[in-house]
Amino acid sequence: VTGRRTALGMVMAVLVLAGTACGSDSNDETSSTTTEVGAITIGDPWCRTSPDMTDRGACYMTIENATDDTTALVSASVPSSVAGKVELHETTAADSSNDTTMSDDTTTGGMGTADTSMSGATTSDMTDSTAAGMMAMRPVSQIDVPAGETVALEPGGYHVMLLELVAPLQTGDAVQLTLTFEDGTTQTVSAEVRTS
Amino acid sequence: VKRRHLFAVLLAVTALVTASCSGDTASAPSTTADPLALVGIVRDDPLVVRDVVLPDVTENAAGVPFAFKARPGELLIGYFGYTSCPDVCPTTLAHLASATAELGGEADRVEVAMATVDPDRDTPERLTGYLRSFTDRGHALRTTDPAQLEEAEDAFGAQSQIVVDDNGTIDVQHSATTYVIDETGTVLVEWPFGVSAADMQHDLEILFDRENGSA
Repeated sequence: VTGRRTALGMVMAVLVLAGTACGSDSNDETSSTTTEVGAITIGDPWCRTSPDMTDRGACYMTIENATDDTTALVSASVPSSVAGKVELHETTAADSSNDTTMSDDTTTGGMGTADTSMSGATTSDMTDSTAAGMMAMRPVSQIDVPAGETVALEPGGYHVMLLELVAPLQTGDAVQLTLTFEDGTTQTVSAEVRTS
Repeated sequence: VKRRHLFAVLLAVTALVTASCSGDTASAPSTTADPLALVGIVRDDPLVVRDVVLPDVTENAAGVPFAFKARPGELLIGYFGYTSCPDVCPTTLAHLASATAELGGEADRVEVAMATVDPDRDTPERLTGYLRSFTDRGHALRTTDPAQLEEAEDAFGAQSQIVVDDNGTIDVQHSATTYVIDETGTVLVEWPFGVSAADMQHDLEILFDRENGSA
């Protein structure tokens, strides 16, 4: 682990040096927990406590790409003592378009979609919901993080899915999550286990 | 570190300037001006689900038919989901658990009925144990008859679909809405996926206030 972290540090140092050598903007900040120019930074990595009787879990974080190149998270792994398999997934609204997909494949007798109304102000969470509110989950081969942008892995969106959990994830646990990026670099972060 | 301080100061100044320029004091959170309005979806023509019955496979319930209506003076939360669901279901159920816990004395007047849309993998034991992680007032509902499940979903305007791809990967799509049901079996409010614990708590408190006021 130490070796990997040292190597990563060296890569970062080189990146920072390269950045300054080009004369763009000399930012000499070297703190490891905050934004670094020329770095990919993982923010607030966490995994949800897993309910009893399920062998699946999900982890979330933000990925900030402060480099000039688009990158992508291509895989993630955890120690085999935590889970047997790890995949990148995305949850999507299966019927987010406001058309009548409901009537296509089912016999939803007269279940109108038009007679719903929000009594409160429309919150952003709900604007694209339809009457059926179908959600789907699909594996993704990679999660793109464009240059200069931050991508969130969050509930209801992208997540790192843990399969074949060895033991339930419990509050207070920490999961060592190793993330591999498109260019082959890796980062290992400690993801806190909590309920939300 | 100094740079960060400077940045913070800049932010604060910007915030101050912005606040003093805009006339209104941005007060409204996610709810409306009317604090007694429900955050979730309220239908003009409410769903009535009291005739929807599914086998209750909760430990010791032994498949007794369970009808979707709350006990007198209580509220029943209905949800269609499955236990292999790592993201959507536990997010919603965790929000619900924390919203209910915040209700204080009223927490004992909320029951949760979770119907599995994936009965092949969700055995009674598995579904019961899963639900118990979120509430000790839960009903694990499971039918192995697809027609009965679909009929129940239809009554809620819900759907689910299980697709197994060539690799054997099981893909479950399901309505992720949560339904709050009263003792007459009427759906009072629906929460689409993504409603926060605070908003759920807000709605439950209003519904109990109405209940207490009319009693």
